Amino acid sequence: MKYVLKKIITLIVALLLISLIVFLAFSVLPSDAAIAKLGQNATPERLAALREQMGLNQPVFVRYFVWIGNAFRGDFGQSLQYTGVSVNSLIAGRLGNSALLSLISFIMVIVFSIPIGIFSAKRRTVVGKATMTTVTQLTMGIPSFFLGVLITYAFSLGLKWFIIGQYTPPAKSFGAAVVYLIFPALAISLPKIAMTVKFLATSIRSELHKDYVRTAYAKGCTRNQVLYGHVLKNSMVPVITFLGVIVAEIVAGSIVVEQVFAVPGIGTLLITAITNRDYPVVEAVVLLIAFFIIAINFIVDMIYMAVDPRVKL
Amino acid sequence: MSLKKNKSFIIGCIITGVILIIAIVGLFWTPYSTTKMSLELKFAPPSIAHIFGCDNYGRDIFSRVMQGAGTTFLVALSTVSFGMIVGTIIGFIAGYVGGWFDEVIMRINDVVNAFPSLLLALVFVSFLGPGLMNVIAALGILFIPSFARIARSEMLRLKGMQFVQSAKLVGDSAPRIIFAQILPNAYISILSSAAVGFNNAVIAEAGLSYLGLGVQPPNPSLGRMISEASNYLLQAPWYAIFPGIAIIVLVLGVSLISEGVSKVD
Amino acid sequence: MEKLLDVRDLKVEYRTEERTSYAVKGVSFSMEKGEILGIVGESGSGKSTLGLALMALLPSYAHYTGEVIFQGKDLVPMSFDELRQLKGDELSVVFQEPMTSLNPLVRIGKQVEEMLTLHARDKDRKEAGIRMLSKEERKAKVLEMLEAVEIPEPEKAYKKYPHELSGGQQQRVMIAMALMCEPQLLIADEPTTALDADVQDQVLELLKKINKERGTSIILVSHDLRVIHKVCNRTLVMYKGEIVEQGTVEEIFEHPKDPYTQSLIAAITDERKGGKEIVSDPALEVKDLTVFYMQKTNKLGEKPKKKVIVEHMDFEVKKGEILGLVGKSGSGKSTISRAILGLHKDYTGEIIHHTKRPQMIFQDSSGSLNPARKIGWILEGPLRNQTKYWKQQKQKNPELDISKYILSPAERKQRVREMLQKVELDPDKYLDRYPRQLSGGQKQRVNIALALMSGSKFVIADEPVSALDVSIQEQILELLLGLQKDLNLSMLFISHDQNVVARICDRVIYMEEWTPRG
Repeated sequence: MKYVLKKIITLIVALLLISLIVFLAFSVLPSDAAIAKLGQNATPERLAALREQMGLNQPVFVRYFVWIGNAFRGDFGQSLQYTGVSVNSLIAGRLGNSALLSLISFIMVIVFSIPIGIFSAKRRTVVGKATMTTVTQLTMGIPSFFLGVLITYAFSLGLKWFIIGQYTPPAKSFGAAVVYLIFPALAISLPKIAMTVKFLATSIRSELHKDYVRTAYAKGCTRNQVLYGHVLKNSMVPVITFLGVIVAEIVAGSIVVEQVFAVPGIGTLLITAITNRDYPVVEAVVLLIAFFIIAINFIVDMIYMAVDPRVKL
Repeated sequence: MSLKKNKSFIIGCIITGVILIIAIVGLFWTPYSTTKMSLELKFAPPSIAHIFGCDNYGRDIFSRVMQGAGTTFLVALSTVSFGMIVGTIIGFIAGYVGGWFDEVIMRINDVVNAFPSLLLALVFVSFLGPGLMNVIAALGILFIPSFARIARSEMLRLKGMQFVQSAKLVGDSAPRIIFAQILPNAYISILSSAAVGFNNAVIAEAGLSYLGLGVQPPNPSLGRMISEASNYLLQAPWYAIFPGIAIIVLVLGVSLISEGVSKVD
Repeated sequence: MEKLLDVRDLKVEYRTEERTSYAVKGVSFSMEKGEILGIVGESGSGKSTLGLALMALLPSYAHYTGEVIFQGKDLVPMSFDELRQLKGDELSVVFQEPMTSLNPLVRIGKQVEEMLTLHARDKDRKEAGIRMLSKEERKAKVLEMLEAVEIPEPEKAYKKYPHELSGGQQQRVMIAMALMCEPQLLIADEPTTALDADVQDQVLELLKKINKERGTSIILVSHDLRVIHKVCNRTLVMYKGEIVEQGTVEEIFEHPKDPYTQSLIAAITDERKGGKEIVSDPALEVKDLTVFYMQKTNKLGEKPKKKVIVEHMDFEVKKGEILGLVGKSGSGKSTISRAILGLHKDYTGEIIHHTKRPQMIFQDSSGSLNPARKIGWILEGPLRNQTKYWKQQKQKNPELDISKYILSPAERKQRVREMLQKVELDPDKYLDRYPRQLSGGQKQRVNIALALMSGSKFVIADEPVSALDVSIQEQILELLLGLQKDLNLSMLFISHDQNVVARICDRVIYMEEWTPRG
């Protein structure tokens, strides 16, 4: 349990570090919230008054502690772009969509990559190996936004299976939301599936050369008993860590792909906020994603320890 | 298996070589002007004169892809080189010296490495502002940790080996041990992660440009071309497809090379 | 007695894309029931290939011809599935590395038990009417077997993972597993090579006991003649894929006929150097030396543990003397040598060198030379550093005459060539080679050259031959003795191997004298 506690403390420190860096980065910018609110042509007097009112005159560390204190209580302040709208409400309206999209993408990765990875590792002919290599290499290299454009072209404009831009939030109709999100999820997950397939196949192949596999054959196991009874579990151990990375990549990929499919999610919110220099929103979204990724890492570590008895608690 | 016999490596080199030549030529000369607009060529489909067709302003897509690929190549190459050189030095020193310096560097690394490079690049660009130089700066800094990690683990693996001990015994200085004894053993793994980094850079740059945060007009960029083209998918699907294929082929070439290199030994 | 195994003209070749190599070149022998047959040979002799070939456990690029008649049936033409039913059931194997040979993620009990579930069905088919064992019966059988191979607290071990057991216990588990289905033949491929010396004997005793009590026939593959001598009734001697001699162990040890066997036996029989006491000044003095290291723990907040290797150690190496330091493997011998050379700082006491630039000849011949550099470059290193050092001295003190220390690149190359000749390597051939192009013995020659390159008179040799085959060991020891005489070197020779130490050293001291108890 000591290890878990240590892990949690490091994670909190990491999160604080990120929040500090993000906050400092935005506070060294020449244009601050007051300018953003009043515009470049505002008079110095009005700017000074607003700064006083918004607490911008205080030293940067004081402002950081105020901000992080509020953030802990779940209050990220007001948006600059939409006057009078809290950052929280902006995020709350979009979080569900993004979470659903990421979840569907992740499920797709798991469902497709594990069987294909095993299948790929079993290919032993030269032609079979070369085909698998080429297909995975090619798929890995497709940028997800371009894949999104292709999918739009094929399934929305061509086959008319969905209409781009006509997204129904899950609160209204969960089924409709899932059906729509399958397409962006495909764009996000396809390259990740290829990566995971390659990783798993490599892992299985390298396990197949280990001594314990020879022992299993010496015991009289069939090929399938060796693969499913001995090799698979061992080769999944590194895959767990890899899947943690994949989850983070899915979250990042969804930022761009939401844009392609016009999904009102965290990603679109972030991009709009960056374009409009709506810093409180940017800070909040980045912190949120950071928290999520760190939590995923923690979960991955925990699973890793549960699976591999050699890793001590 | 030797490198010269490895098919992945050879095919990868040919693909990358051809694209590299086209991209470099594209920086100085293109078959048509990349900015000249023409009403009658608007959405002209691929033909012998314009092999990739023309865009919504009647500009030659092939010429623009040439230049865009050149820009992408330049961004990826400079960011990866920067990240590789700085990262390798930091990682080597951290691994060699050890102690608290190593601890601090590695903790920072862990944090940065946990984040996908596109997300971090977005954060960087959001306060540096969009533009070619800022994208290079953002991605370059972001690549440092991954190279530092590789260099450090190579250093840790190699510094325990006995030839390093014996180099110390015969009086080699620390820089000599690091650069003359250890570096020649580590460069293969550093270069193969450079290939991975190169592809990440290409995709990240394209992604940023697609979002309008990367390379700004009038410089052509593959990512932004796809973004513009997505509005005209019905009229001119080739407008989106050719820049996309250019990215895919670029990435494929480099990953085939690294696949080949990793199979050696 | 009836024949259990009859091997006739067995050939094994490895076919890869680049070339075909013969590992076993037409081998014939037979074995009777209840026998312990040894197969002995150096690395590359094909002994392990032969052992594994009998069980069809070689990688897919190995091809067989010939006959392996086991209990009246030829194994060579059998299908994978026919063989599979024999494997583990009638034919079992114990490998060299118990740690990696067990599945790391599966509990011991389950791994041993798998033998019963795997072969229950096969047995059913053969003798219809035998029912499947129940779960409880299987567990009882496993526990019984763990007890039989002398694993302490079988109930506890049943639930443990492989990494929680010591090497010796892991090997016992492997043996238990192999015996689970009461096989006719057990093939043990270097079963004790990876284990500590005292555990080795226990495991060998266990194998003998199994043979006696259960009547299991055993083939013991080993590079170590002493192991064969202890355990086997009869042995084959292999060299370059062929059997050069076979016979009972007594015959082979007392009247070896083949010159190769003779050289192997000569190398292990005690041969002492004429122990003349050397009277001279000391080259190295060690006074009240305590060497320790800080053992890092992975747990948070726990301070590194101080682990003492030796305490209050006192000895001296005289000029022109070879002093042997004997200690068990894993006892921290290398740390002591590194402390003496100043590479390991955690020690107290005095280390006084009376010679300039003491050097070291390392054990591991694969990591001891920089794999990315050519032999010539590696050997020039000390000379380059020497030139640099004297140039720096000149800057501090301009009146210094350094001309005799400054070597031009051509002179350096010449010195390297001379040194290669001294270690009996042809400079024209080896200057431009990379370490991986050298054999183990050649690498060790280069290591010796490197240690002598800077003109040092005191050398620590840390297990310089333990990674080498017996016949090569002999050559390297000859070389060391010759060089020591020619150059009047002083040497601290560290080894776990009593025979080697006796062969080369003038005087021997034992690490146990100074190892802390408990």
